[in-house]
Amino acid sequence: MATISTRPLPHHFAGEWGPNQVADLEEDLIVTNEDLGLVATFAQTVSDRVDALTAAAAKPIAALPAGGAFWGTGGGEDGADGFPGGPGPMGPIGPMGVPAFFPTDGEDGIAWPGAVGATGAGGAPASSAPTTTGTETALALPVGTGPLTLYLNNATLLTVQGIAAGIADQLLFVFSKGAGQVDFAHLHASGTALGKLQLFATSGLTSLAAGVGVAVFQYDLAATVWRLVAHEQGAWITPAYNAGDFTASAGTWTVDAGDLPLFRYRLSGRRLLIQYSIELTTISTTPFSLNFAIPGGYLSLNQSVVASVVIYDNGAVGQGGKAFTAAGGGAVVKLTKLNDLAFAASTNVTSVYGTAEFEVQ
Amino acid sequence: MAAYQTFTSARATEPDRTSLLAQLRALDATAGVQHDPGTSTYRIKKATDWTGPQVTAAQNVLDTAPASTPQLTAQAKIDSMDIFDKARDLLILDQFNLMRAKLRGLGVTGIPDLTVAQYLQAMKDKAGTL
Repeated sequence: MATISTRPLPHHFAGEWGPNQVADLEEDLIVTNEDLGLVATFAQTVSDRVDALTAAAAKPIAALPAGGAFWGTGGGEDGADGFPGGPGPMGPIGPMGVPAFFPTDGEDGIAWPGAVGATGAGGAPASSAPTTTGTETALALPVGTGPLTLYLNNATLLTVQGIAAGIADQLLFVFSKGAGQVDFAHLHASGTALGKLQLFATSGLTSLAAGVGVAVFQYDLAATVWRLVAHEQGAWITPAYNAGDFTASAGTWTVDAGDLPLFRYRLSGRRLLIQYSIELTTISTTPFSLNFAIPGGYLSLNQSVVASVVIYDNGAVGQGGKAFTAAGGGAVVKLTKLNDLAFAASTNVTSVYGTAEFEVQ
Repeated sequence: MAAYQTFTSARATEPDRTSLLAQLRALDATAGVQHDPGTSTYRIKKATDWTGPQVTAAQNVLDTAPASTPQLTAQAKIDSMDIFDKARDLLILDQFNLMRAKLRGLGVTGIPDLTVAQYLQAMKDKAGTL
């Protein structure tokens, strides 16, 4: 860096240096109070300039004034050094630094929840396999405070109108294990007041096919009923033959036991499906409809055409028919010809085939 | 007391339903038959118990009854014609007989009125030739 000069040197020397020149130079280098004053003034000027530049640097780069050196103009001699230039353009962003770690105590945080506790010990499950048949108004339960299971091992039909009381929300699994069918009756008057059965279908029996059906109940302590939770009939059920189940709109429709190679039903919720082959029957006169009782004792919910039917009227070539249920609690399925004509009187030669599906009460 | 008997026939054709029933009823007036086309089994019901000869006779009917044909089916349909079809056809017969009567009035002979039975039989005969 050049030496700061506060005034021009009095002696310009272009030749060789000698003792005189050195003496003159020494005289020139003596710093006087005047010199110190000038230096202080210059320092203040530099300080002001630096402050101005610092303030400018805090502004956006585009707003910065152009920097530049200020060159002295001393008569032919080197001027004083100018002020430092303005700041250069901002450099690229540097790599992210490593976060500092302050080993001081932080604020208390929220604690993690504790581990889920183990399931509590449930009530003791229990099961039994009664062989009772006939009608039960308060079917006995195994002793237990947990889920209960009944493996019904009845050899013949068992009709359940009520089950002994359970505890609140207790589950009861009922399996048909025996050779006999199991029928449940909805809120039967004869059932125990502490354990009537609340079923899906209320107009007829809910059955378990022998050896395969299953039902699940849950005890409603407030209502003191066993509510049906799930039911699987397990298989189609063929109702016992009853000649009185078959009628005609006029005269008689005689259906013998052997005229029913297929007559069965399946209940799912309130949906009843019936399959039937009623053949080689006898009609006494010319009715417009042949009727059969809805198996299981159910009542239909609505009037509706529930299936198509194939009819062999008096042995003639097959023709179409329709099956329909009556409105407001009909107990029969009616079969008619599509052409709305009457059936012919016949002996052992009128047959009807079909399926019917409808909602029951 | 109804009595049922199940038969099996090895015949390769489907029997004409009307002809089969007519032949079985010739054996027993209370006979009725159930058969699903395409199967070989026949279930026959009648009012009284079956005897050995009746079983043999019924088996013979099943094996030999005429095969189902469009002509036989049409003839059976003529026999069981409903009122609409019968009214249409018998009206034509009435008009035909009216013309015959006028022709007879003009001295034409050999054209008596056709009876309903003759007319329907003529229809069946015609169906048998189509």
